[in-house]
Amino acid sequence: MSGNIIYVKDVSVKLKDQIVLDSIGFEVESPSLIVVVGPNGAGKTTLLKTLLGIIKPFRGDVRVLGLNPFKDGVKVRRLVGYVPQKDRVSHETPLKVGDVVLMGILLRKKLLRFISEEDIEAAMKALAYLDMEDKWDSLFSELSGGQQRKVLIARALASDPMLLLLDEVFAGLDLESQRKLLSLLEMLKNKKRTIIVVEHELDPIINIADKILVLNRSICLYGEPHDVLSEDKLKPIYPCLRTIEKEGRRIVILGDMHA
Amino acid sequence: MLDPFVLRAILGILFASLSTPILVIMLLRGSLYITPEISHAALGGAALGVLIQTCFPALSDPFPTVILFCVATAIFVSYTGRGSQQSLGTMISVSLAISVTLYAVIRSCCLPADKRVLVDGYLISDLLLLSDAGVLNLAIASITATVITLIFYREFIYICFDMDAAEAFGLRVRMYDLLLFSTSAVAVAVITRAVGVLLSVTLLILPVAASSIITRNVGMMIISSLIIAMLSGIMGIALSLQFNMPTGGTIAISSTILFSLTYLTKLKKQ
Ligand SMILES: Nc1ncnc2c1ncn2[C@@H]1O[C@H](COP(=O)(O)OP(=O)(O)O)[C@@H](O)[C@H]1O
Ligand SMILES: [Mg+2]
Repeated sequence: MSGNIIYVKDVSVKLKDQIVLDSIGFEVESPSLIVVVGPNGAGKTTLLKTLLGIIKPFRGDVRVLGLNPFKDGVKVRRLVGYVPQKDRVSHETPLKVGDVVLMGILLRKKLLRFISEEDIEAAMKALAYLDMEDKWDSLFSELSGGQQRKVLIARALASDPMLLLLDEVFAGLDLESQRKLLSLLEMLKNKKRTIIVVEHELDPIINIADKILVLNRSICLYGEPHDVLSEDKLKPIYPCLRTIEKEGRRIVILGDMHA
Repeated sequence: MLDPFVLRAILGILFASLSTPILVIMLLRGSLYITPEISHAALGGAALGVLIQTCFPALSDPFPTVILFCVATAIFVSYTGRGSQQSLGTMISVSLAISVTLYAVIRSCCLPADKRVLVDGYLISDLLLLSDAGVLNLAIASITATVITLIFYREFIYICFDMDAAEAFGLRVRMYDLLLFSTSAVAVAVITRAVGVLLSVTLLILPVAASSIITRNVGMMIISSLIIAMLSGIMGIALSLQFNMPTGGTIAISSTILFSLTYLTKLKKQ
């Protein structure tokens, strides 16, 4: 076993008797930014939940930050920042934006979880990254969908985790917010944080990715962008694949797979 | 000077009201509707408690058995009904059936006539019959529920707001959810003791529902539901003394009146 931040070996996951991940293995060094792509139902969300120890594989070995997430799930989860794809947030619970972001910090504390000055500062800072600091006292349920996404990203960032897992966060953000998020992720990478981004399309995240992992129940491709991004390698997985020129750059459009 | 009966009744209802904060959290959890069902478990618990008391006269009050039975029911329902809303509904009905059957069988087959009154006191209760020990029991139970609510307030609120994320951030959501259900079962037992199973729904649901009409701030909801529950109780005892009715019924009437007033005020404002 290596000292890498993520180590996955021969992992298979079954959900309701259906094999969702089939003996996948990969390692992630720290710091780096990995983009995970794959068609709908490829198992991307399942992969993130497996890393967090929420879903247990029936075979294989997983280490995150040197820990086994199925034995030390709570420990691992307290060290990892996570933005779920579908947030099943209850709009009946009237929490303010500030409280939602503080949740990301307080859940990592010991019982009673008193709020300190530093906690509020850290939460404010995380909101400020996403230009949402003026919404501190607004009710979360009264924000727009995109604004809510940004608050949930801030919640994951607030505790300044070593490892950040983002499940399809770019979709639903406007272009300006996407740009902001992109430079934010780049800044985090420079701060030696490791980030795993699950996305549907490679653009715009591809510009700052160190590696790309193409997943479709098993790992199809894993490597640096210039290795992976060739049409003959991607075409079998994405029959609708196109490349276009935009602002002088070559952009690969994977094409929606409505499975 | 207050008559000691009246004083005990007032103390009883004040302590019963003290257990409403956890019910506010159950509302946010979307599970307040199961509390009247848990209240029916109190019947089974009361029958069992009186039976134990008949066999072992040293155990003077069936209330601890009632609490245990309610908590066990809540744990059973939340554990077995975890999968879906449908299975939750099924398990609630199952536990309801068990409690009512237990009540019917023990009451008619195992209890002497003079003990049946004790069990029936849980159907429609009269706080004016409360003993000193009864007040003490209510106080201990509701203060326990309140302290647990205060200590684990954040955990409970996070579970209500976003259970998946709370789990992904390292909270032991299963454990805290069980604690939330168990604590509300204690609150249910207390309120059931105060007004009886048949009318418990009024004090379990109406003050909380009224508070959610008044405000959307969780802290304010807790305070206002507490005040509404206390007002209902005091009004109920006053009415009961005036018209010589059991307090259970008059407290139910007052809380219905207070809820209706809140609702109408809200309608008028819109
Ligand atoms: N809770 C679940 N129970 C059963 N099957 C599931 C569950 N969640 C996801 N699946 C199945 O697992 C597969 C992978 O899902 P997911 O990881 O969400 O894919 P992706 O995130 O790549 O779109 C899908 O075929 C989906 O139907
Ligand atoms: Mg997904």
